[in-house]
Amino acid sequence: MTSPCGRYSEKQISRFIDGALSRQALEQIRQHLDTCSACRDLADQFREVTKTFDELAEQPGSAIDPNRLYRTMQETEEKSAGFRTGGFFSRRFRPLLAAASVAALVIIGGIALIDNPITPDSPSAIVTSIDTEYTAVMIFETPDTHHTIVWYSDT
Amino acid sequence: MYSFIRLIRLTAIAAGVIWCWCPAQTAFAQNQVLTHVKVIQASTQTRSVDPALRQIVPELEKVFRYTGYTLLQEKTLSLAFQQPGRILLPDSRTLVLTPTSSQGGRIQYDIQILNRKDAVFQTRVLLKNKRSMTIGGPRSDHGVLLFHITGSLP
Repeated sequence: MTSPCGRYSEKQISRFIDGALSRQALEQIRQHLDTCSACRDLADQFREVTKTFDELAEQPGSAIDPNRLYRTMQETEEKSAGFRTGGFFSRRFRPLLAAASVAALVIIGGIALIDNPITPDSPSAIVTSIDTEYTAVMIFETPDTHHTIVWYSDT
Repeated sequence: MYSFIRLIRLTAIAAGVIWCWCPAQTAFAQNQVLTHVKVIQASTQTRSVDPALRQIVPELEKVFRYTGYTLLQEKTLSLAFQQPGRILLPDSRTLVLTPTSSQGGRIQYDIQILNRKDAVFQTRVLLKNKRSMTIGGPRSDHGVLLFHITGSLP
């Protein structure tokens, strides 16, 4: 799709916002935006989307407070046990519930840490954009050190 | 006893001030990004591994079938953010690395591979501080070129 005035494609405007164009192309579009309000509006929209995405991406994965979650689970369990005071099953399954709580915490904690930069097994590099004339591009990482490899075919 | 407690209190305050001051110094030093690049030729024609690559080749061998690794060039660039660093490669190619920002313990790089003056490959990556990545694929002689890139904020 082209921009509202038809001079540049939406993709080009989007790349301009990402700074993913040659210096010359960036300058040309910058000059065009000074005079074309329709394209400027489109660029503002892309900028807003990028900004929102960046803000979301930067939210720490460890925002889940495991202690708070554990306390909540304990309170829920106590309330639940309160309805069955002295009941046979509440005593019998209490160790299982405790084990399940711990397991849930481990799983949730693991998920919360996936995007945490301090996690040792996150990839060495995160590829946020690629632009190439070649269609065959692969991104993978080594099994032990999670060394990121970007591979493109040069033929 | 009272003076001893006062001394401890003063020491704690001084430690706190130093602790607060250090990040500001680090932020100042972080304006420069050290980028170390090894240009490697990998091939199946030889079975020799360059001694300078002994630390990184075992990891590469887990994913590549190449038997020979030769270090063609090694360069360390000290770059400010937004400052491009250029490395001339075989066959009129150029590798251009530009650190653009740092966030969450990672350095953002814009990386371009030029063939003469045309950008044939460009990417933006977030590289962990003091870690490395490899870009590969361009053919050269009887093998391919690998660019082993390490970035660190001093």
